[in-house]
Amino acid sequence: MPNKTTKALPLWLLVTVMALSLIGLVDSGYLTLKHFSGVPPECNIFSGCDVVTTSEYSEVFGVPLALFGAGYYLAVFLLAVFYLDRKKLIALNLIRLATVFGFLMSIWLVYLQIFVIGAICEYCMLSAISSTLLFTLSLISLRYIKISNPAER
Amino acid sequence: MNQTTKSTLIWTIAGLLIAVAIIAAAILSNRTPSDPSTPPNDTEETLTPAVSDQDWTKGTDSPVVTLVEYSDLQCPACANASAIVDELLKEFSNHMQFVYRHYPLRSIHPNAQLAGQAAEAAGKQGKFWEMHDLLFASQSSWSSLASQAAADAFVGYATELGLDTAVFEEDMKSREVEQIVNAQYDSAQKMGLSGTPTFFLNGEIMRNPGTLEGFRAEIRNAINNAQQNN
Repeated sequence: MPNKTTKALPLWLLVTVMALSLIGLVDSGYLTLKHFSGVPPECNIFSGCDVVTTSEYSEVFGVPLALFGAGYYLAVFLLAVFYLDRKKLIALNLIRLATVFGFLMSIWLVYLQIFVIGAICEYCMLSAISSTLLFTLSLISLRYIKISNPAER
Repeated sequence: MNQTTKSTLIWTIAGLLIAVAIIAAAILSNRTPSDPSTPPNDTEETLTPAVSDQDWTKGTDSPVVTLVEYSDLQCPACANASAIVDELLKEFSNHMQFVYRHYPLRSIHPNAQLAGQAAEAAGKQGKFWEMHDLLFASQSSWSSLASQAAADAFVGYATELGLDTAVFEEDMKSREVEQIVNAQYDSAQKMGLSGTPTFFLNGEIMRNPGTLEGFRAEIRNAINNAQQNN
């Protein structure tokens, strides 16, 4: 039962999603490793000290936010690969759902940096940009395949 | 290409890409960090200008070793270092002099410049070190304030220290005090210091030991050397 107006998701869109999630993975992976290795020797004592990544907002229940970010990007990447492989709509919809959360989280974190912590961490901003782009791409994907579309293939 | 081969290919490439991403993150995080606002290369090794009577000093007046710190009152690492310095001053009270210089990292610490000016303004009423200690002790409560609120907080600390608050407030915002902080900031920039805190021991830049034990060893060493030469 092919849906009336379904067009295939263009490859460029999927590839861009994968590229952005890889960039995000490198970025948040970097911040995660920094968080675990770097707090006392590198950031906390000696060298330009980094208020943002050592602020009280950098952890949730003792887990660094950057690790959540890395998990998010990894999940988006794997889902995109899965969609590329199997063309299962569920994967696409999960990506869309994830990018909504990613986008909202980014807004919150940018707000915290500017108005609460009063300092900007460029790696965190890079992550905010890639999350925003991912969200934009998932909105664009709606032009091709609607969420309501039942079992496309 | 059949479906199975295609799947294998896709997932192999995906796995490789993830591995590359993780390795890239690991390599980046292992690089030595530096403050992005200043280039880390070409750091001057020798303290310029040398310690003079324009500087805020603590400890003995006839020092065998002089420890100079370029510091930022809004930097958490500097607050930690301050506790180490206090301990060192206690231990080496007969031999060591400590000098504080301002290096507010304005791009990442919006209140650091004004905090430096607050310390200088308190200094005009003879309470530089008291304000310095108070600002570090209360750092977390003023770090994230907007600048007017931070200024108000600093005036509050002046009251706590029993200063003339009207004079303090005027001094803190005066061109003269601003220039004292700026001159020290400029000297740090000129030497190419890449971050805070940066220490100089007897005028030579220190590879930061980072711990009380590390500092203690270096200072003891410097004292021994000086005494052997006499």
